[in-house]
This record gives sequence, structure tokens and C-alpha cells, in this order.
Amino acid sequence: MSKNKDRQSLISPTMFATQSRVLRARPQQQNVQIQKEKEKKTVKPVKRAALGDLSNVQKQQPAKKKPVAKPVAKKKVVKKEVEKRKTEEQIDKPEVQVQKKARTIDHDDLDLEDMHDPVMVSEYVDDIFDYLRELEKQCLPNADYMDMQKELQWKMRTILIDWLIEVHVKFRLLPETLYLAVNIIDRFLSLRVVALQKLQLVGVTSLFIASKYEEVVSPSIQNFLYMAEDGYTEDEIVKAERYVLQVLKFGLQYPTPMSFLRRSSKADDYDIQTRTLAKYLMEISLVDHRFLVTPASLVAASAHYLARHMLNRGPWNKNLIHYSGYQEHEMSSTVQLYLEYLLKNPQNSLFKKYSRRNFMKGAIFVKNWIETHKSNGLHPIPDHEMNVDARNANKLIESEEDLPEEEEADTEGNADADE
Amino acid sequence: MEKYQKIEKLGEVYKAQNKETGAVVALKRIRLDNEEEGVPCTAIREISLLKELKHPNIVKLYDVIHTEKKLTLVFEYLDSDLKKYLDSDISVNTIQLLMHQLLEGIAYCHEHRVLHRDLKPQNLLINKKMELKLADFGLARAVGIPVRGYSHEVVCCIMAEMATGRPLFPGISIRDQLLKIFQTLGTPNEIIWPRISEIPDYKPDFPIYPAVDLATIVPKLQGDGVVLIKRMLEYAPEKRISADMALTSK
Repeated sequence: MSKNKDRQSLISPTMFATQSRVLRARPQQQNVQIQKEKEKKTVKPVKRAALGDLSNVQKQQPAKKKPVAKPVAKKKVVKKEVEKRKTEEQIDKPEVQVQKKARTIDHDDLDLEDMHDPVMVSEYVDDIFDYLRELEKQCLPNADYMDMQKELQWKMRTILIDWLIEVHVKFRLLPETLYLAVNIIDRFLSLRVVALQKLQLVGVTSLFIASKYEEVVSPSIQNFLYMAEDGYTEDEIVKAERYVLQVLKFGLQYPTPMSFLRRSSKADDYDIQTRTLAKYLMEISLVDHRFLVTPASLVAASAHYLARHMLNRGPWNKNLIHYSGYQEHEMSSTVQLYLEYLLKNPQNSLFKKYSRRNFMKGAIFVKNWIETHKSNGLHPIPDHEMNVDARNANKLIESEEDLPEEEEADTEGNADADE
Repeated sequence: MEKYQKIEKLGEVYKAQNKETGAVVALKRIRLDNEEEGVPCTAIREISLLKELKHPNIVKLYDVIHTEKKLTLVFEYLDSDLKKYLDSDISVNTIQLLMHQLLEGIAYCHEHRVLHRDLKPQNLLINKKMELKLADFGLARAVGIPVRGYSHEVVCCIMAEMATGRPLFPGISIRDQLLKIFQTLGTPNEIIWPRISEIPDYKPDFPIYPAVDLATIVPKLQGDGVVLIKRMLEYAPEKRISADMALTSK
């Protein structure tokens, strides 16, 4: 079962360090490389990195035995690939249109293989996900609630969530509990004005309620008092619990991004590295308040998509579109939010949590990935304005100092530097 | 609380009347003054889930009154439950009618990723119009996919109980329960239930019983009914019929 699989892989020594080598053996990543080749045509100064990538393309294509040594020959290969991709796009387009009308015909029915696995409840899975997509809309907080708060500011929310992530790790609670707790906090703050003094009480109470709803064995109230360093009494937490439940009318039905990630992971065979990175990215949506308007399914799909991009796992194919419910262009702005957050490189509880071995040091991998790719454009969509800006800035720097040609060969090893 | 006039106490719940509308309701009270942990998680889940689930075969939760000392759940009132009904002789037609509603209710829960986990005749309420509604969601949960391991689920053997007037497997402990099931359905093996020996609590030394013909246990049911029961009692989960599928059979 996937749960065991997770556990094994988490403790296995397959760290991201060894990954770059594994990556190159994968043929699917060609398209990403090709996209970068297209960039190369439009913007000259990025030549160096683009050529570095090109040598990757060679490695992935064992079928082409002759090593393409000269840059001229390389261009031919690229052209062919671009043409090939164009025809693929043409074929894809009509299908995408069909996809909106009848969702069942354009993808592989991966649920069929689960007919024999009762925990996958394949007979109900479509109904359930249609329902969750409805439900997530009802659970969105008011994105502007800080305007009505008198004593609070967004940075205080940031501190609260950071603390919550820390205690959540300490008490080894389920990921769902953390998502639900933050959702309770935000929906409560959308409805009630809270004094700064009481903000942590709202936080600890929300975690208390979320644990009761999600955990198989919820920690006792004493643990929650301890978390808050005895800043509140038992009575205060019990009263706050009653108040929060009343204000939210006991509505705790928030579907977390975890359910949606589990669904879309089906389309890449639950690749453990992608999943771990995606989980890290998804939790950014808790820390950064700009994600308040983003429904859980979009948080999950965009994280999954960006994680695959960082790991060079190939294009966002039909199965991924179907099982996530999103196409590339629909995720573009959410992906941008993730990247903007990562560029700031905050050294917070979230970063610490995902720098640990049991999360495959995912946060460190991401940090290095950002460093390596910053100048070249981070966004998976090649002509995204983030990338154009990055390249323009890069152009200025590179025009000042012309780099010698020998450097080209070295950049091929840029993925190794990800360690 | 002044809104409701208590009429009579019925086990754990009160029958009461809304003084403003005259509607008869059932009040379920949960005391909080002895509760050190605040609102019990069973109450949190039951209320939250029932607010989501709206279906003619699921009991309606009208209101929640939450004070310092107690939590009162205001439900629609139904005068009987299946347990009481079983004392009388039920016709095959009635069994069919009730079974259909039971399956409708369960299928609705499952489509909304909710597992009831405590299905038994006492929790299936029935009114004079012979409407059946699922009640008592204290042990219910919204689940993720894949479904994580929770506590042991209760298998639905209610149909046979309706047909015979007594529980199909009246076990007193987990092991006793299991052996009662084996005595009727036969001890499962790798042929009936592929990979059964990989199940954590599987013991290779379970006594071996042959399967009994279900038709002799539920003589009242016709051929189709016996077939349906058989399919609902399949050992291997992948062979067992879903509530949704069961609805399409008669």
C-alpha cells in the first residue's frame, strides 16, 4: 500500500543528492528541455545555460548514438524536436476541447486498476471528488479580513502560522490537521474581530478542534496548554472552543489539499520525490496569506506541477490534467505565487521542517534549485513574464562580461550542483 | 432551550415539542460539565457531518444549542427504529422497501466520503410512513482516499436480521463474532479471499467451518434476496457489492 511505500522511501538513502543522475535517465523530461531551446532562439545571451541543457538532451536520447558535437548540429536536433512538438500540440488541442464536454474519454482510467483495492474506493471516487470540488468553494475565507481587524496585521498571522507549524511537527500530528487548523483560523478571523492578545488562543484552539476532527487519537487539552507555554488556562481554551464552533456553525468540512494531491499523484504513480516536494510547496499556501483565495485543489495541482518541473519529470500530460482537474495555464498565477515566496527564501519553521531527512531535505533541494535557475527563469511556462524579466536582467549582466566558450561544458553539471 | 417543551424521555433522547412551531423533535443531550476535554470529538464529528449530509434517508439535524454545561442536538422526530420493528413479523415487501432506503442512505454517505461505522437496527429510525433514516453519526468520519486504517468497520447484516427477526451474527467478543461469521459463511481461505493471509490479524489456526446455504437461514427471502445477501456478505472486499450497485439490483 502507498502508505508503506511512503515510509520506506522516506527513510531510504535516496536523497535529492543522488537524484540528478536518476533524472537524466528519464526520457520524459525532453519537452522541458525543448521549451528551454525555444527560449534560446528568442534571447541570445542565455546561450550558455541553454547549451548546458542541450547536453542533457543528448544523454537522454540513447537512440541517437552519434554524439552531436558541434553547436550547428545541435540546432538541427532542436528544430526537429520543436517541429515534432508543434504537431503534438495540434493533435492535443481538439482533445482538450472535448475534455471539457466529456471528461471520461481523453485520459487513461487509472481507477480501473484499483477495483481490487478497497481502500481506494474506486466505485465512489469520481462522486467524492466532484463533491470535494464543490465543498472547497464553501470553505474559502474572506481574503481581505485583515482590513476589518483592528489590532492585527498579516505579519502577525505569519508568526502565528509559523508557530503552529512548529508545534504541529512536535506533536506529530497528521498533515490534514494542520490544514484544517489554519482554515479554521482564517474563517474565524473572517467573521470576528480578534484582539492581538487573543490571537494565539485562536490558533491553539483551532488546532485543538482540528485534532479532534482529524486525528485517530487527539492529544489531550493539557498538551495544548503546554504548546502555548501555559499562556492560557484550560477554561479559556474550552470557552474559546465553544465560541469558535458556534461562529463557524460546526462547519469543519474543509477538504485539504492533501486529498487532491493524493488524487493527482495517481497519474505519476505516486512518485515519492515529487510528492515530498509538492507537500512542501503546498504548505507554503498556509504561510503566505496571498493563497487565501486559492481553492485547495488548485493549491495541490500547482504544487504538484511545480514539483514536477523542478524535478524535470516531463510535461503535464492528459492524465495529470484529468486527475488534478487543471491545465497548465490555469495554474500559472498560483505557481508564480510559490516562486515569489521561494525567491524571498524565508528561514522559518516550514523551511526547517522540510530541511529534515524525513522530508528528504526537500526545502534545501528547492532552495538550490531556485539559486541555480534564478537567472534563467523559474516559471515552467517558458515565455512567462517572470522568466522574461529574469532573462532581461541576466542579459544586462552577461553583456558586460563575455564568457569564454569552455564554460559551456561545465554547465552541463549544473544539476549536480543541486546537492 | 426554552423553545422546546419536553414530552417524554426515550432512552438517551427526549421527545419534545417546539413551542413556536408545534413541531415534534428529538433532543439529544451531551453533558459538558464533566468533560475535561471540551466538546467530545464524537459530537464535533456528528454535528459537522450531519450539517453536510442532506438526504431523505438521513436524519435531519435542525439545530444545535451549545451552552457551558451541555450541548443539545435537535433532530427531526421519528417514532420507531428498526430494532423495535424487528419484534413484529415483517413482510418481504416491507423488507425490500426498507432495504432500498437503507442502501440509498448509505450510498449517499459514501458518495460524500462519509463512513457511518455504526450501522445497526437501533440506529435506523423509521416513522409511520415507513420512511427509514440513518441516525447516530457519533462514530462516523469523513475519510480521505486512500482510506487510512481506522477502527474495525461494522459489516451490514441488517437485511438478514429483518428477514429472521434476530441478528445474523450475535457475537459477544471480537473473536466470538468472527467465529460466528465463519460458522455461517464458512472459514475464509485463499481461494475465497485472495491474499487473506496477508491481513495483520489473520491466524492460520482459525477453526475450519463449511459454509451454510444462506437460503436456509433466511427462508423468507426469495431467490433474488438471497443472491443480494450473498453478494453483500462476500469476504473479499473487492467482490462485495457496493451500496450503489446494490440499489440497482432489486
